[in-house]
Order: sequence, then C-alpha cells, then structure tokens
Amino acid sequence: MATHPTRTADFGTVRSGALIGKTLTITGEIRGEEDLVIDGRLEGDVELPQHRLTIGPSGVLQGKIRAREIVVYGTVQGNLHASERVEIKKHAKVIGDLKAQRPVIEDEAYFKGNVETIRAETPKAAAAGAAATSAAAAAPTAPAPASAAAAPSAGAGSPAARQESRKG
Amino acid sequence: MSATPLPRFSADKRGGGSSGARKSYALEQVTEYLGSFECGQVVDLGGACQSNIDYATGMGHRLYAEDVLLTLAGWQGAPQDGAFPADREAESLPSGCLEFPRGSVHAALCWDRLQFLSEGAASALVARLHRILVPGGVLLALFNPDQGARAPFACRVTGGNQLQLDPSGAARPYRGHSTRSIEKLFHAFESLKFYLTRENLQEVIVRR
Repeated sequence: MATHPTRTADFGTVRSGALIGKTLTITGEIRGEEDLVIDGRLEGDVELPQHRLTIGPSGVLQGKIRAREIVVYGTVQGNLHASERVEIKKHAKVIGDLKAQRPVIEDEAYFKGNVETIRAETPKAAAAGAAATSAAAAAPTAPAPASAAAAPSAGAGSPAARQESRKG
Repeated sequence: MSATPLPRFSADKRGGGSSGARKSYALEQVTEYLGSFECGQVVDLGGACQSNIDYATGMGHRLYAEDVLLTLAGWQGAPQDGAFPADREAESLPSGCLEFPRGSVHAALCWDRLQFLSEGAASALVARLHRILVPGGVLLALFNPDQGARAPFACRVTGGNQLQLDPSGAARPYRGHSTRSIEKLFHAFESLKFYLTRENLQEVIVRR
C-alpha cells in the first residue's frame, strides 16, 4: 500500500495533520478530528476539541478557536479556548480573550485581552463534582454569587458584560 | 469568595523573588488584597507578561492585559521633540480601551505608564479607572518626581512583594510628578499611600 508523504510547515514541531498553506484564503468554519496548521488566512471559527491548532508565522485568523492545544506564531483576532494549553509565541499578535489550563505568552508577543485559567478536571474531582451536583439538585436554590465580574470581550470588540464563574 | 491566597504569591515578608527584583510595599498591599478573595478581575496596563499572568491567575483571578501606551499612541499622537502632544478632553478615551462595566475591576496595575501620557490622556485614563474599579479596589502606579526621558519599564511580579523593573523599548519623555500632582490626579479616589523606592521612584497605592 502506498504511503503519502506528511506535509510539515517550516516552524516549530509539527505532527502529521492538515495544512492550510500560505496562499490559501478560506471563509467559513472548520471542524475536525486531526491536528491543523494554518499558515494562510481564515475568516471563521475553528473547532478541534481533541487536537492541536497551530497558526503559523504567515497565518491570520479572524474568529473563535476551540481546541485541545493552540499555538500561535502569527495573528489571531478572536477568543481562544484550549482544554489544555495556549502558547503565544514571540512576535505573534493576538487580540482576544484566552482561556486555558496553561496559558503561555512569550516576551515580545503582542496580546490584548483577558486571560483566565481553567483547572484540570481529574477523575476524582469530576466524581466529587457529580456528587455535589446531585446534592445541589436536592437542595433549595442558592442566590447567585455577587462576585461574578464582567469584562470586555477584546476579541469580539463588544463591551457586553458577561458573568463567569470559576470552574472548580 | 474564599480567603485562600496561594502560598506562591502570598505577601511574604521574606520575599522569595528572583534576582534583580526589588521589594515593593505597594505590590505587597495589592497581593494582600487580591489574596483575600477569588474570581476577581485584574487589569495590567503594561501589556502581557507571563509572570504577571501567573501572579493573577495563580490567585484565582482573571487578568486583562493591554499596553496602554500602544493603545493610546495613535490617539494622543507620538511625542515630538521631547514635548507631549496637545491634551485631549478627559473622558474621551478611544473605543476599545478598558471598556469594562462600571465597578467590575478589582485591581489596576498601571506601573509607570501614566507618566508617559500627556496630562489630559492621564486624567482621562484615571477617570476611566475610577469608573471601572470596585469600591475598595486598588490601583498601583509608579512615578518619578522629575521629568526626563527613559524607556518605560517592563514590570514583572516575581513574588508577592517582589517586582522586577527592566527598561523595555526606546527612550521617551516622561512627566515628573510631585506628591501634590499625584494627589490631584487621583483626587476622586478614597485614599493614597506613597512609598519611596530605589532610583528616586515613588510607588503609589490608591484605593477606590
């Protein structure tokens, strides 16, 4: 059976996966179950819940990103949500809110937005959370916490207030 | 809100910061305040910096990072021949600059940025900060008493009371601030405390 060569970009460590090359411009949403490297231009959201998205040095993305890992060498305007880590590399430019277990922003990267960490969901914590949920369902409704703060959404450019509670 | 500050950034009198860092009494107060609750909002006007992100998120808060000198550069114009551009009307910051709802921010880390702005821009920014800070919220700023020119500091929090100041970028003129002018700038706030530190730099902790 013939094997196809794996395309790799000329930066960072890139595993096998799809590549959107420098000359490509795409408008629309991307969803998938494999790693993706964008070195071209994308106007739209990206959703790779179990995989890694890399925005290459020539990559420009305007839209929301949700992935397991996000690495940015290029430009992103939109919110980034990674279940594991987000890395914004030197000379990258990101305008948007960032949510990850491990957010990393290198010196000389440009970033404007809110950074929030999410805690790792361990099996034990998940079980405790499930027990608490079932207990809460049996208890009377508690008032909403007064501490929830609102923040501007740098990515969407909208100052709409939002309420966020920290994941436990 | 639970009162469980993480030990890594507790306001430990022994310090524990990296080499090159200095003790900061103002930062110590910010750390004590932020350590008393979780899920707060911190704004860093010096831009994104990993150690400051770790500082705020390590205590369970969100950090909004924006280099206000970059944001306001186009709006107020670049300084020319060592002079500041003409003042702008207060309360007219460009859209997209610190557009938080009223009373939604718990701490503002201004570092030395205010003294690199024209008088009107600094007043407008302070008015915006007064509006978005919660009552009791804190603001940290650094001022030189005499005017001059130098690169703005990249300010890194390396411990609960340890601050590292590294010049970053090109030198640019800054306005000197006397104690009186600082009091005037923050006249709408509840209280101010001054700490004189190394290199004739004054730390100010302002409470909303």
